[in-house]
Amino acid sequence: MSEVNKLPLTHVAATIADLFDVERPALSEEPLLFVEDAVRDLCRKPFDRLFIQNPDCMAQWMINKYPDAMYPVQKLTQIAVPLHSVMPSVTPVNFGTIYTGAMPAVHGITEYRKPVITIDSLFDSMIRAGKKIALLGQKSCSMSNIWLERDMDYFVIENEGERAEKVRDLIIEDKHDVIVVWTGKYDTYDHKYGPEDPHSVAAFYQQGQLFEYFVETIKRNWKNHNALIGFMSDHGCHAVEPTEENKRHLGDHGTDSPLDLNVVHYYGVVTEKE
Amino acid sequence: MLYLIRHGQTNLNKTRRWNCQSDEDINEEGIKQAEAAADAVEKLPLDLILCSPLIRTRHTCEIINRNHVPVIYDKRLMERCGGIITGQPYEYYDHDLYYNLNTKDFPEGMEPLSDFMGRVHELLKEVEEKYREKNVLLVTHGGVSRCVKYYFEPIPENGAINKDSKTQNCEIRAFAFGVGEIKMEEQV
Repeated sequence: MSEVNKLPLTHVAATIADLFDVERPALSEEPLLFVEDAVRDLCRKPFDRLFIQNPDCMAQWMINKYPDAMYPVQKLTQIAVPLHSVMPSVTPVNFGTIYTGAMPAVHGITEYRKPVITIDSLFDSMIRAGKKIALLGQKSCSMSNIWLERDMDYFVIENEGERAEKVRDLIIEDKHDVIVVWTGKYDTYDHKYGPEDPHSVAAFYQQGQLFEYFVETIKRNWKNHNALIGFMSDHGCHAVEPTEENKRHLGDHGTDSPLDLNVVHYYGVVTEKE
Repeated sequence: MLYLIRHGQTNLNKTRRWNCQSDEDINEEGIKQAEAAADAVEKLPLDLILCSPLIRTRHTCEIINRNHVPVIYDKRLMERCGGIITGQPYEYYDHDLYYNLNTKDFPEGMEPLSDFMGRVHELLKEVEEKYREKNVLLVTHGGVSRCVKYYFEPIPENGAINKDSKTQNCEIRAFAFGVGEIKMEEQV
C-alpha cells in the first residue's frame, strides 16, 4: 500500500448527522455527499435507529490481505468508503475526530490520552434532538472515557463477548435510538502478538462476525424501524521490527504511514420491510 | 466516462457451468486476472466504483481498487437469476434462448431477461443523471455487461443480445454517455 486515502475521517460526523436528520456537530467538516445520496437511494424514509460498531485498528491493508474477513460486513452493508485517520493515528485522537468531525487541534486530543471532549459532537447533536443513546466499551478504552459527562447510557463491560451480548439485549429491548459499541480485541492482540499472528488474525475475523451477529439481531428485532448501520474503525497498524527483548513482530500504530492511516468505513441500511 | 469490468474466473466459469447468482468466489486464476487488470484500473481517473454484491465481484473489486476509490454495492448489478439452471453445464440451457428478449418461456425460477435488463438500465439511467461528469467503474458480471452494451446501442429486432457482446473475465470496457462504447486502448 503506497498511498494515503484521499478522504479524512473529519467527514464522518456530518454525514451521519445529515442522514439521521440532526444538526451537524458545530465544528464538523463537510459531509460525504455521495454517501448521503447512495444511502438515501437505499432508504427514502427517515432513519429512526442508528447502530455503529467501532472496531479498533482495522487496517485497510489487513482487509485487502484477508478479504474474506470482511465478507460478513460487506454482505450486510452497501457502501464502502476508504478514509484516512488523522495524525497521530491513535485511538482517542481518531474517535474524537470521527464523532466531532473536527481535527485534533480543534477537539483537543492531540496525543494518546483520554480526557473528556468538550466540544460539540454527534452524540450532543443526537441528545439535542431527543435521541436516547447507548454507548458500550471497556473501562480503559477511549470510547468509554472521552464521551463521558453526557446524557446518555454508558455500559462498561470488559469482556468483548459479554459486551456483544449486552448489545443484543439492547437491540431486543429497543429502548435506544442510537447504539454505539466499541470492539477492541484485534487492537489488543495486535499490540500483544503482532498484526498477523494467528491470535490476531482470528480476532480480526471476529470483528466482522460480531457485526453480522449485531445486524442479524437488528433485522429480527427492529422490523418497524429504519436503521442506518455502520462499521467504522479508527486507524490501521503496522508490524514493528523484532528487538533483542522481543522477538515477535509486534503491532503498533501512530505514524503517518498508509499502513497506520488507511481504513475503510462501511455504511448500510436495514429497512422496515426487511 | 463509464467503465466496466467483469469479475475474475470462478470454478463454475472454468468448468463451463452457469454461474448466475451462485455466490462463488473467484479461483486462483481469477485472482491472477484481477491482479493483472489492477495495473490498468490503477491508471483510470476513477471517482466511484459501483459493484455487484456477489462475492466474486467483491473480491475482484478488492484486488483492483488499488487507488482506494469509494465503493457502492448495488444489487441491480448482480448477475441474472438463473433459477434451476444455476450451476448446471452450459449445455443444460440454450445460450441463444437465454439471451433473447423474445423468449417467453423460462426455466423455473429464472429472472425474465426484460426484468434483468430493466434493472440494469434503471441503474445506468441513475448513473447518467448523477455521475455523468464523473468517472465510474462498474464491477459486474457477463450478463450485466451485455445489458450495458444495449443501453448504448439499439436492441436488435430479433431480441438477441448475445452477439459480439461477451466480456471476458476481468476484461475492461469503456462507454461515454451520449457517445457509446470507446476502445479501451484509447483510455489506458
